[in-house]
Amino acid sequence: MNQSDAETIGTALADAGFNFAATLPADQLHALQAWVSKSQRFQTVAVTNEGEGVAICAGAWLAGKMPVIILETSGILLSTYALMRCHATFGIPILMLSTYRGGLGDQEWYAAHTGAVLPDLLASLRIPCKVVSSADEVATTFVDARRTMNSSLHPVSIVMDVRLTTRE
Amino acid sequence: MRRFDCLQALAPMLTDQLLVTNVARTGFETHMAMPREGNLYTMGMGLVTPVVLGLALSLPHRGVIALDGDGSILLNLGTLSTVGNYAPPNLITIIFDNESYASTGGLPTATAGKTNLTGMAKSAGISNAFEVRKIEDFTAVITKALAGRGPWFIVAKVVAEKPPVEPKLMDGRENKYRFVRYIEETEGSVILKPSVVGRKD
Repeated sequence: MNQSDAETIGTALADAGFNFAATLPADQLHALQAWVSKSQRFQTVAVTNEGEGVAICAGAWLAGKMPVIILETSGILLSTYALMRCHATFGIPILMLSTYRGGLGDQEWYAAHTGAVLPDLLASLRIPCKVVSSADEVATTFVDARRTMNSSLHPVSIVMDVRLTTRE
Repeated sequence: MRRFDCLQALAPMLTDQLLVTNVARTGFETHMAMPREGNLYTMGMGLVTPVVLGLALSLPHRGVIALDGDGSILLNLGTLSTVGNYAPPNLITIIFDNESYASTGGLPTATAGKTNLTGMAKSAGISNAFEVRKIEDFTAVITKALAGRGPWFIVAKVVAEKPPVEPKLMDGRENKYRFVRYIEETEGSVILKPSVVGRKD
């Protein structure tokens, strides 16, 4: 992700009301994670794995924060247990803002299967998902995500496709 | 030392702290010893301390307590590093370490072998990490933790047992709503924002 898109997306997240972010380094998200971590508009936590990250976000929501975890596609797989046992069980929302490794156009062989299962995985977890392709789309999408989080009290997923996360 | 005795000792020392418990008997026994609106019971294995860490970081002026277990924390050891690095002064983690998966058949956990959770917590950066084996030592360290600056990591070595427990007459969702309403009331905040037709915020 380039610096300009990172700034647009980070600003849109904050404008939509998100103010607590868990992050774990991800190659295509580095610029966004760095921007969010430096921003005064977010309280950020660098976590050791995505399952821990979504659980920390659950605690933040219970305390009144609006949490987002910025993560790799494979991190969604890793966080599945916590999403079900914590968020789905108790009714606690979180926004998962992720890459789409293995999505259409990704040229890394190791990501192919992760990307192939992502839509069905999110569907089976009953997590509503929207794929965005440009930074211009994100402002309204983040507002919609927050509204759905407030009404459903359930996780919401926004997946940024390969064109967006690899744009020079 | 028995876990229930620890919980009965802890109960009168609490004021408005927020408390999250582990699964199984830890949750039931906590509800028996100290039914409070500020308790969230039966968080999943490996999730208790990270959830409480999120509470602690978000409400830095308020005491928060994790009632965790050896099997649970062993499932998510990375969170010790996060607690150590962010070091929220308002966080107390109590590990009831019975060296077994007592509620699911009693197979030993790693702490029945060579693993020392207190040492792991110290190495992760939590300097206030202690192990206690007697109820008077438990009470003494809790008294110090409630009055002092954390984070605290207290490993309470307890016997593995499955005492009879009373049922909690609410599920996790009702418990969550009551817990959040309690936070809203005591913090003067609005967390739950149910759907309202026409609302545009």
